[in-house]
Amino acid sequence: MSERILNIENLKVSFDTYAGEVEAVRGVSFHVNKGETLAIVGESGCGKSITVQSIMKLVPMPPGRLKEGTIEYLSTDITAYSDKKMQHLRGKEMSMIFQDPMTSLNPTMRIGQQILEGVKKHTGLKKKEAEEQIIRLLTDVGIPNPDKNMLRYPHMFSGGMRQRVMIAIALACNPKILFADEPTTALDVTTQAQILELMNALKEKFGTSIVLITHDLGIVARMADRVAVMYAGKIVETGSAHDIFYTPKHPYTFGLLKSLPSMDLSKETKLEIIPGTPASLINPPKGCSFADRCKYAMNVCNRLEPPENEISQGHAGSCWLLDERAPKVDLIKGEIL
Amino acid sequence: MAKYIVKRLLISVITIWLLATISFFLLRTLPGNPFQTNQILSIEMQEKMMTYYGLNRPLLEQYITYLSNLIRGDMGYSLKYTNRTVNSIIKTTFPISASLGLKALALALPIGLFLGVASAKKRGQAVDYACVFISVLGVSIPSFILGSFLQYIFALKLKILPMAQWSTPLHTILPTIALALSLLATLTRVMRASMLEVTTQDYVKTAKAKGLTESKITWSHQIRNAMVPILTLLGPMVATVLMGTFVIEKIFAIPGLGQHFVNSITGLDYTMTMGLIVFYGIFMVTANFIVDIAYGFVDPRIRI
Ligand SMILES: Nc1ncnc2c1ncn2[C@@H]1O[C@H](COP(=O)(O)OP(=O)(O)OP(=O)(O)O)[C@@H](O)[C@H]1O
Ligand SMILES: [Mg+2]
Repeated sequence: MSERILNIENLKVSFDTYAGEVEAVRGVSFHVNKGETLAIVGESGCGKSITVQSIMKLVPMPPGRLKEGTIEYLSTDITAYSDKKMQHLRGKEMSMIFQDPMTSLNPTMRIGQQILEGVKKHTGLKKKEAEEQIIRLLTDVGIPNPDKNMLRYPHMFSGGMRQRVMIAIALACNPKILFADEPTTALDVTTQAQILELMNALKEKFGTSIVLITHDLGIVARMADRVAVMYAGKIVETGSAHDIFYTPKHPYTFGLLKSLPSMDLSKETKLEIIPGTPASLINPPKGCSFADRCKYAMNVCNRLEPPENEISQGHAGSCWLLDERAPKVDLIKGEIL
Repeated sequence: MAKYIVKRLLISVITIWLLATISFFLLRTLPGNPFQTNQILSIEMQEKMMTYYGLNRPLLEQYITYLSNLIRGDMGYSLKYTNRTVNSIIKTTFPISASLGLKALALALPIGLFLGVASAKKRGQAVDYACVFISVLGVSIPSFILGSFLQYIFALKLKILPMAQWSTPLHTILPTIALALSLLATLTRVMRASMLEVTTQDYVKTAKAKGLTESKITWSHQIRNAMVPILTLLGPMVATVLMGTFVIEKIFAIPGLGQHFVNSITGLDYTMTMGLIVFYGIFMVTANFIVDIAYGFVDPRIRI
């Protein structure tokens, strides 16, 4: 079995707001192996960012609160780590790149300095060596003339270039795991492809594991080894990319796939949307949170939360349809058999 | 850069000219004449004085004369202080006000910024409440109350500082504090808001994700970005404060420029009022110019 870098068990994160407790993450479990890419997909607001940010303890607490769960990094329980202890992990062992490269770099600091900070903190390199390291990094991420460009400010770069700088910052100390929170959402399609390619290349080169958050299934298809599908603060289905794309078992996963435009023009298929809106995270429903929008919903779905059912090795889903007592359905035809 | 400076200079000159012109004509719409207010002068005497100072001539002619003198740097004679030019009055009183203003700023600026930062960092904690309390107090207590209060405590009761007057450095302490408190309050409030705003920025999260310590993030990522609104505020603040404050100068019997702003208008001392407006205007325009240059040092995006 390959080495486990990260293991998350039953993670629950809430926000205390005036409107009440927002249960952003409601019992999420997953793991990440060495050198693999795990994609987390799901609708906006389902808790993807909060999940990964709580692993690095970047969620402001309060108003956030880690209610339950364990976070294991390289078999060490880091759930209760203080901010001080986390500082040694952040940037060195685990890194993050964010969605919007326009706002995630400090506008008043030269990019070289922004990379240098982390390098200096974690490696104790001398100034000269650190500078060489920065030039090497910038070359790795494809920034031309790194010796000149390291002295420039973020606003002098395009969005794609800034995201490359962000990647350089994140990979500066060769972390074992990289959280990429929608790293290409703010970029145009061509730049998007370049950045993804770069991430894949660097992953190969350094053996970094990647947790990739996205709601673009096209990106999942080209990047991910495994996929976790999130809905309303929970993972509803998880499996290899192949499992998820070819044998999805949760109606939500299936709905997501059907909402993907197909290039196959021979078939007159209409793009399908999933009707309704995601369940509220304040007082979430007692049963399955997708029941309201699910056309196969049974009585039990509204009353009890579905347990996780293993479908095959490494493929699991939380849906009552997977129970042996449930009627068999054909998700493609949309019929109950 | 050179082009920018020339352009700014041109705009400044036009601004000052507009300021002078509008004030010149507005001032003359005030009822009465400068000599009427002085009860002792008879009607004939008043007429004589008006003729002597050329105030009976057509307004447009007076305006042109004033402007051509102004261009040569001559702001004319005061109508109230016999035989004293406006230039000389400003020359003797401005340094006093400016020195008081600078002292107050030197006291208020570092403390205000520090309290603002501390308050934002400890948001919702006791330190924050204390800072907010100070800043509300500083903004809402009128300076004449604060001034008299300081005099009562330190001069009258404790007898460790002089009550008023402007001579030794010791004399400057109380008025400096009285003036500094309201500046400090404003600076604290703005810096706190600005720091809080910066705290939620994405790049702060990036900095945290790099593993930097809390204090390092504050120092190298937040404060510099939070300084932009402070600069905006600082331009007019410095200009106003250096011009002197009527109330503080009155309470502490300081022979500064501030008193003239009020006295010259109530006394319809046209030339003095005009002189002060133009002087103030030039000062304000310069301060804003410096601020615009300074922006560039703080934020490379607006570098010219
Ligand atoms: N500071 C906060 N206070 C209250 N609620 C919050 C806060 N931050 C996040 N949330 C809530 O937590 C939930 C999950 O947010 P999260 O950012 O993880 O969503 P996401 O899946 O990343 O969505 P997106 O695709 O839009 O980035 C959202 O419903 C959001 O309203
Ligand atoms: Mg998100």
